[in-house]
Amino acid sequence: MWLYHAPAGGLCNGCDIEIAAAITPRYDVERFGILLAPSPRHADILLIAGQMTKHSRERLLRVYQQVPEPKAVVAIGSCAISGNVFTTDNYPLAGTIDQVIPVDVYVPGCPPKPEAIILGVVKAIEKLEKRTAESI
Amino acid sequence: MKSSIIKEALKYFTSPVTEAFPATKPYFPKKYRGPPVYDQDKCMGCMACAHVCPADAITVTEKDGKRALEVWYGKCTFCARCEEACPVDAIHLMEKYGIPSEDKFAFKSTVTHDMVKCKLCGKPIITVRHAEWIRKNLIEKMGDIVGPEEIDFFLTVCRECRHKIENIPELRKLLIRVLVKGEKT
Ligand code: SF4
Ligand code: SF4
Ligand code: SF4
Repeated sequence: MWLYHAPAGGLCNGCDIEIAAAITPRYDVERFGILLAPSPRHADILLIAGQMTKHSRERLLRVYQQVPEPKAVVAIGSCAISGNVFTTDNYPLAGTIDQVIPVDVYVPGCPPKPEAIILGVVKAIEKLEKRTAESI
Repeated sequence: MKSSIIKEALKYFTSPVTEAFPATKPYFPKKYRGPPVYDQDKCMGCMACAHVCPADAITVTEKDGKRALEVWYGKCTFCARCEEACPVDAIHLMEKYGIPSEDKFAFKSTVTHDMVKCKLCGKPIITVRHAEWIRKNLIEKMGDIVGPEEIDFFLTVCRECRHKIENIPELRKLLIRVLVKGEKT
């Protein structure tokens, strides 16, 4: 499974750092067959962290469209789920991520522990496998 | 602080670094802030936690004479202000992490409380437990100037009705007595 990590505009970087921590030797996600992809075109699962800003909305959509089918999206952290301490009608924000692209798994936390991120990705893999089996 | 970093670095030369997650229990550092969870036995429904929450993660709903508080981890920023503000230590940030889910509203903790109804107009005012707590504290701190019956009266009459009562001379005197005492202390 190839992961592509897309920070969605407004975020404090905490979630990015936890994603980086999750792929270090300490947690070694390659044990589960998870690898980071350099481009969304090579990815199966999209990890999104942070609030979606008006500027990043277009880019996020483009990244999502570049991921080949079948794909799964994991929203990481309170920012990606609900906008965290900001209401989503705040002027630089463009709503929550699941209003623009379908999100499969939500990982709560601010930031979530690397364990939670790994569990979230594993859940997304399960969903992806089910979807692939259904489509054949 | 420095020695702990060196210890951590030395570990990399002596033992395997990779944690056997999910087989092992995860490591939680000191002062780790996890999801806040309510303690239904201790909580009295005073809403102090909801007032201080910077993310508005705690919602209060009042329905059918009951008050329900719900903290949604999808909005929470895990700052522990609710834990600090709670006067009775009824909400705690747990040493655990949120389990990912396909439903974003699945992550939450809730409590419900019965409410006291206004004696005069029947409107729900505060929760039964909050009233008991205020009564206990008032008797402790102001027992010499306010009698228990007077406290009971004030705790069972809503704010709007109390505004009207202020015009009644005896109660007005009592209010002034309480205020003067409050200024002195
Ligand atoms: S959820 Fe918290 S840690 Fe993650 S980007 Fe938002 S503010 Fe930062
Ligand atoms: S008692 Fe504590 S947890 Fe319960 S409503 Fe009040 S502040 Fe919140
Ligand atoms: S930890 Fe902070 S954001 Fe979360 S419920 Fe408590 S006060 Fe609100």
